[in-house]
Amino acid sequence: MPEIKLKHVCSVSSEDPNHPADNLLGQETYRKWQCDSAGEKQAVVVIEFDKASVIHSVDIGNNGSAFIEVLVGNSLSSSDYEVLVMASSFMSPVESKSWTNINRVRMFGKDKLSKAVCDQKWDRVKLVCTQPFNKNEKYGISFVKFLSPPTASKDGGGVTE
Amino acid sequence: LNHHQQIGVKHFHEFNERIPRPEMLQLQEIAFRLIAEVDKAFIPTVCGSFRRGALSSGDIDILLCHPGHTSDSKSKPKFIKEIVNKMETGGFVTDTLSIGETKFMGVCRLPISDNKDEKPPLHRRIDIRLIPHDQYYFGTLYFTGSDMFNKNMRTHALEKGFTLNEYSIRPVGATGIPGEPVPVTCEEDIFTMIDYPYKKPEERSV
Repeated sequence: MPEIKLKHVCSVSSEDPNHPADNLLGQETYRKWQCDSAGEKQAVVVIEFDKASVIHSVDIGNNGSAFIEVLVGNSLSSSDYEVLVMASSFMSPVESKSWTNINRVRMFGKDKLSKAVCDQKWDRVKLVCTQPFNKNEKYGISFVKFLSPPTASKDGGGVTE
Repeated sequence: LNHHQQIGVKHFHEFNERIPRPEMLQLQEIAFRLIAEVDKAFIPTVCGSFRRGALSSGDIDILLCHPGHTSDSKSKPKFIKEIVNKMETGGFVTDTLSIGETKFMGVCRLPISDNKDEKPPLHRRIDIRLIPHDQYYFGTLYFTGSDMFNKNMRTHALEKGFTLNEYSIRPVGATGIPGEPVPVTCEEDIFTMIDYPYKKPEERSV
């Protein structure tokens, strides 16, 4: 499953100067993104793909978020973002309060992605993180990987561009 | 008259009688013992006003889960049938109004005393619901009430960005679409999730 190349960060709600959102673009997974101050209501980053792609699965490495949601959109379309991965748990309230297990990794395969949008091509993604259970820590994401379908032929049946 | 109505008529006057709390405690004890005889792993809870400490109840409403039965389970277990069979052989359950894989509605009563001078025990309405383990504490919270308490708690949950119902609690996403159900291990976890002061069942009679 080829990894979809991330081109650039279009916008970010806030970023810690030591852990900017650009860290999500690189391959080095030890570099993370987090918001600039503790207790922010949500941390949002919009990333543009190198080219429009079908998303087959998503891997997310957490960095202190209680919930992470992934939305998809198209830069040329004026319509709103649509949900690809519904708001999903990465830390329980207890873990959040004690600030433990902050780097859980979850993989969302095709069965976990929204059926309505996962067959279309998208060129931007919006990651929405929240941490309502701990107002004393900065939070965000340590890495995110988007993978395209294993093969473009046969299983789809149709002609791909 | 159908079967359901016939039983309703047969015990009409008895069903209108409130069940005093001491009798509810005896019914609970017998029901829980019979349930444990089928499988010790069951977790039963008598909900409704009884759980809120009411001095009398209209019927007995038992919620049940088994660690081996979750909402992901492919096959529906035969738990309800096994339990009802056990309760019938013991003479505890006297009639069945309806029975399915997840819900039994019927009639039960306390054992008849050896003392001939005592009045025979009244027939009581009993419901038993099997709930998937991952949804159990949302069920007990919901079926314990009160209705007003549930309504207030749901409103508070929405203010905190969560949608709460009798099956799950889910974070509401950026576009208003509910997220994945958040796992909990007890009722108290649900209160913690939405930063709502914990109320014991007997404090929920608002």
